[in-house]
Amino acid sequence: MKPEQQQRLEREIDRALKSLPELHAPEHLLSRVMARIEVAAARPWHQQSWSEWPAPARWTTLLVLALIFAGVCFAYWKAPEAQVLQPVLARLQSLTNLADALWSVLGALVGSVTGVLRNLNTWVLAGCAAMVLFGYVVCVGLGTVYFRVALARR
Amino acid sequence: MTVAQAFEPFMKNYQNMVFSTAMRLVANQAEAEDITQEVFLKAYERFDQLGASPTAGGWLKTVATNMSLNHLSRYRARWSFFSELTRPGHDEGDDEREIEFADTHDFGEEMARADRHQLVEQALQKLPDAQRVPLVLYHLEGLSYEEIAAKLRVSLGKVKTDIFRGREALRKRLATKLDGETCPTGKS
Repeated sequence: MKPEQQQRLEREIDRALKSLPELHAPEHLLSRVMARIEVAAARPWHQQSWSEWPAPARWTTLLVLALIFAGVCFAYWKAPEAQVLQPVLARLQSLTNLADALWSVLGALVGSVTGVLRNLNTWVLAGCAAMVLFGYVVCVGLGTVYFRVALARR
Repeated sequence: MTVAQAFEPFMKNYQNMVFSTAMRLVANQAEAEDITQEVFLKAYERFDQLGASPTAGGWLKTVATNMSLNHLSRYRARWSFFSELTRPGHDEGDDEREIEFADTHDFGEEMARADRHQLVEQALQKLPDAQRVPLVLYHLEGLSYEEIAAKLRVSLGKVKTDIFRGREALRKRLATKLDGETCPTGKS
């Protein structure tokens, strides 16, 4: 298309679209919104979003959270010295040992898989990669067909 | 007068504008209603600032546009990807064919005779998302190509192509409809 034809088309479409009047919102929309506002207003303050809480309640929650944080930090700092916490710490230590053991098993598994892969023929690996790629392409293809057929604008 | 009571005339004043913005972008009545509702619930949260503000209309339009685009990207996330797969000659028409501007001239004259607004509205809503959205943002929201590309997170070239195809498709749809109106049996 020639540039002047494009400009002419742009002007025509621009004029046609800009001349469109506003669409009428459905009658029930106002009542729907007002009903939602009434429901929200009827909820007690503690069920509304935190930003809507009264200022004293907001400051109190902030203070409580800061105290909890300080308490956790203090406990972490002082816990090793407290005798009453020794059984708990011992229990935590055993859990850490378990995690260490699991990590070692995982490392051994990864090592063996890596070893197997290194010893496999390049063609086998290329075939596996091709199969994965094929599966991916099939998924995209099926998705495209679904999009075109099921979600097509009628 | 409570805040809710003061909000009612505010919403009546702007609801058509917000609904039109959403409807032309998402082209679906139920989705446009939901978006309009969410826009006004957001507006209610900051009604103390918006109520008397001269920029309330602009704020509402921007929020409606952004929420519509978010809605399209969330619920029709793949539209920009799949829009590349549209069949040539299906909706857009054959791009290589020379457009005969005698038709466009007639199209302008015939438009005056037909119920132009309804036809344009219907034709616009039948365009695929990938063409309608940039077309509406360009012609109705007044955004530049660059702004549209940034908003839709697509390339500048794609925006220009989609807008061009959208205009073409719109022109063809309107020409076909007007042919049908003026000559119900088919070709004149």
